[in-house]
Amino acid sequence: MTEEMISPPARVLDSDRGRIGRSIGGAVRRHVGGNVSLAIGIGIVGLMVLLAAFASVIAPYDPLKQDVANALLAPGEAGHLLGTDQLGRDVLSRLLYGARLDIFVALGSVIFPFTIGIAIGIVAGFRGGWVDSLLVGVIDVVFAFPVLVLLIALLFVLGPGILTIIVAITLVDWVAYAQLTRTSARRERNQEYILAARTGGIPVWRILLRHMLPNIIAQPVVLAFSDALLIILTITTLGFLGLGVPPPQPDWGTMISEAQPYLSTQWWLGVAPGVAIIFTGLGLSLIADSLAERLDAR
Amino acid sequence: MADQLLEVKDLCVHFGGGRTLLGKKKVPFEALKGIDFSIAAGEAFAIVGESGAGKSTAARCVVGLQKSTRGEITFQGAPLGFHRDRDQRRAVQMVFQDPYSSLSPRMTVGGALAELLRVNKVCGTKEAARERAGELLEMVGMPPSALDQRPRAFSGGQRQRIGIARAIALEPALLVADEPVSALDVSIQASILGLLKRLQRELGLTMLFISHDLAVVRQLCDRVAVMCDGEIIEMGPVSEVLAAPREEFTKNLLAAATDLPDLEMEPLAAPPPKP
Repeated sequence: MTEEMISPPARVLDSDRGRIGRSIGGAVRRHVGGNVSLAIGIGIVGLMVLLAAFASVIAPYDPLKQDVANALLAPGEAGHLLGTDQLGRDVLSRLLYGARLDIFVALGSVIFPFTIGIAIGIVAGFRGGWVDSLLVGVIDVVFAFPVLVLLIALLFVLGPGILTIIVAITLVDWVAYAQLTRTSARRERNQEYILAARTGGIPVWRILLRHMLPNIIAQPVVLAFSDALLIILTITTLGFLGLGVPPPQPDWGTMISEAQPYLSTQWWLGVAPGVAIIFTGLGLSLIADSLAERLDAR
Repeated sequence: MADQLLEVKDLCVHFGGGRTLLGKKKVPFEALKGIDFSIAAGEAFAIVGESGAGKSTAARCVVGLQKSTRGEITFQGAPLGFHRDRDQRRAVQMVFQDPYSSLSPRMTVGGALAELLRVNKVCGTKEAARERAGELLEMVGMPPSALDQRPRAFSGGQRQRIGIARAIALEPALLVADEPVSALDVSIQASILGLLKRLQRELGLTMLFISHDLAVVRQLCDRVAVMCDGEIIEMGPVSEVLAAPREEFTKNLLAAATDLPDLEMEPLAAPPPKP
């Protein structure tokens, strides 16, 4: 058993691809191959999205309904599959509604920075000159801030809420996409296919959208999936710090935070949302990693 | 001279000039130090020289991909600047050097050609553009089936044919070819040069041909300018310059030219019997 664990599988060696090779998704991909891990990743994320979308149908109880007489029930007791929390609310129902909220916020917090960052990055990289210098300055300033501190400050200014989280994350996160896209755009703008398009009199917006973007979109897409994972973690961190989604709305971070005093006696209160986060994270990581592999080979 | 299609006067391009943040003057790199040449309609004009001599920079100024620092370019009697209108842009087209990077890897050949035709209003409808794209491919010796394929399906020589099809799609008066065969195998070079020669004759094109290889120039061009360090050091008819070069530099360049294979070949001998 131990020997088997120590000796690495032979395939690890030929697929050593730097950062990617060290991620969870990379580890899984090496064992089952790119297509399978992509399918598993899509399956996991798809399942979570479905559960979230149909939370109102699947959830056995109202996630907000308190029943103090039945508080802190163990899993399976009195028809509560995952037990109840300190206020007698059904944990499974809260988990499902929490998925809805967290996935919705994650989606918003990825789409906006993704779109805005790519748009700004590609224009700056293509134009060059002072536009580009300005962007680089802004990127450096935003990067220099500790992200969580900046987020917390923004949350205090804007007041807590779902929209605030999305806006705050967008304000911080677009620079990652902008920087990535800018670098690619600078590299591509002197490629002859771009020069040829310019010689052909094709309008700049069309060159950027139809010629350049398809050739540089792979990296931001991969980043978006690994970013979604980080954002879910950030949201749960904010929830844990009491800065996330205001109660009584269920979200995974708040659930873990509220479960803290009961960890030694009712451990499942914290473990259930924790497992949900890990599971979703695994799915996103698998997709990000397989896409990186697949899009790399054009 | 009235019948000159293109006239270039005192063309200068400096890179990296200006001042630093502290106001210190930066020393610019002078890629072109004021060159003059003119090309008559229907002529094939070559600029040769080592890499870094400024040949490509000159070509890019003519095509409108590079701003000049000083000097003027006159085309069909009108000034040709970096910013130009659609007709002027259409009239000067380019064949690029590297067929592996000059075609967008994510667009089909037909898609890219059709886009070019429609944006420039050569063809009004999608169907007309596609049909014209097929004709263009045929003109450069590619099958119509290439329309729906992406560049990665083709070899270097085939890609360069597609690149030539794109350059003639807008029916230019002046075709600028920037080292069109230097990225190709010697065996393919001759066929691409043959194609350019044929198109020049059939379409009545004027050509500005950039090369570092005098043997290539000899096959294709009427007049030649030799460039060295951003200046033209020798210019004249190809036969004269190559037969009796005045400058030492030209002699050296001539000595370095590759020998293209003779196009007349003996019939193949019967293949040896398989063991």
